[in-house]
Amino acid sequence: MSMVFKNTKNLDLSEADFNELLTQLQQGNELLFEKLFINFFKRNLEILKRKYQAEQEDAYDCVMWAMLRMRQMLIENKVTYGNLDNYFTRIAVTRYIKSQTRKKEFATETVPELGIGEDQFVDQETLDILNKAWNRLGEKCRELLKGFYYDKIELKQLTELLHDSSPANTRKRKERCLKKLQQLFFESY
Amino acid sequence: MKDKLKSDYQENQLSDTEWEKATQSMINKKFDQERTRRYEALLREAGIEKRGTASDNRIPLRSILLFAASILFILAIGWYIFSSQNNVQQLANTYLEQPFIFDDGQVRGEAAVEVKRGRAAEAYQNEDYEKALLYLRQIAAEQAANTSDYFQMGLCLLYQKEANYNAALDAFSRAGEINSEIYEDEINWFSALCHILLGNDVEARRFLNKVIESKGSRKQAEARKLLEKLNDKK
Repeated sequence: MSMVFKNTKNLDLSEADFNELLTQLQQGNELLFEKLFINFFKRNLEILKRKYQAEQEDAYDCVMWAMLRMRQMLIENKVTYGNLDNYFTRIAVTRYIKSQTRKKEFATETVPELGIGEDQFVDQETLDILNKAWNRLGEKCRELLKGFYYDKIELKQLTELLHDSSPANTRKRKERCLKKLQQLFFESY
Repeated sequence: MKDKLKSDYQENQLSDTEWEKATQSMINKKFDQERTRRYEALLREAGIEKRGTASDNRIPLRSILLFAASILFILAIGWYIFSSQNNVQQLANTYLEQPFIFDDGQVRGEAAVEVKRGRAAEAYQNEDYEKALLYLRQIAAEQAANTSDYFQMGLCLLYQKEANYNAALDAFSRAGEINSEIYEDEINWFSALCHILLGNDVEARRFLNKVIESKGSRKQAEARKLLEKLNDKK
């Protein structure tokens, strides 16, 4: 891929390539992101292992988490072209340092806050219940809820995708889907 | 989390806002997990494992043994491939057995052409390449096809029940004409496979060399193997 190695500060992308990446991701096309993913993952894994003496498994988990947040921020247009490599590396490093605070005495006051928040705790048991409920939910509801809450697609766009008559109807449908999911979730206990 | 949700629900204290917030978190976690599995598979393909690699060198003897075992394993696999697949076309066919993962999500947009693009992507994911091809050809007929469309069209022509290598080559060539960068490596790789299967060894070599010389290519090792096989044919 010749677009790689053009710029070492911004995921190896020129500004035009970066904009193309954003467009493709926002259209649901993951291919370009996945092409960049491997190199970027390797680089950050090495940084955590060499500079922070992280063990392979811990480093892997933290970089994976950072990559997921990175994808999310790109989709939500929350980052701009500038010094993205450094920013995303800091996310991985911050995640690692925070994960170590329970195990080691670390000066956490020096860990920068990056404004991306931490996960709200969802245990595997809860997730299993959600999965059961999710599988019983209609396909359109699944598409709508995933589109809105995970892929961050605007209601107006979802209206077109789901062939709804208006965004107001899509909003109502979303409320009904949430209710249905709630009902199925508590039935699945 | 589930106990708190359940007790709030049973006591009618779970507000719509709280449920929505919980749903948001659960959905994020659910799809993050799915995406993680996908990324893990990509990383495995690139030789990055979550646990114990040769570079994770905390028990030297174990690492040395693992390294030695890996070398033996690679040699054994190499010997096996060398002895069992002396036909370059057979080897090229094995690389076409696993469909190239084109798009993990759905294509969205306002114009009708985007709808067709979305349907083509969906059909491709369902391995219904003939159907995907139908939509992609409609997009091309409307003069709206971009690099991705032509690239995907080429793949469909390869993976459909009766592969059409010449048409696939034409589609890859058009993809490259529109934007020579986005799928450069993939286009070189699949064009090489097409030429091998058509018996055009000179062209096949040309594309294989491009793959080998590309720094970012993920198919360098496979391209070298094919090139060796082609040279053995001489």
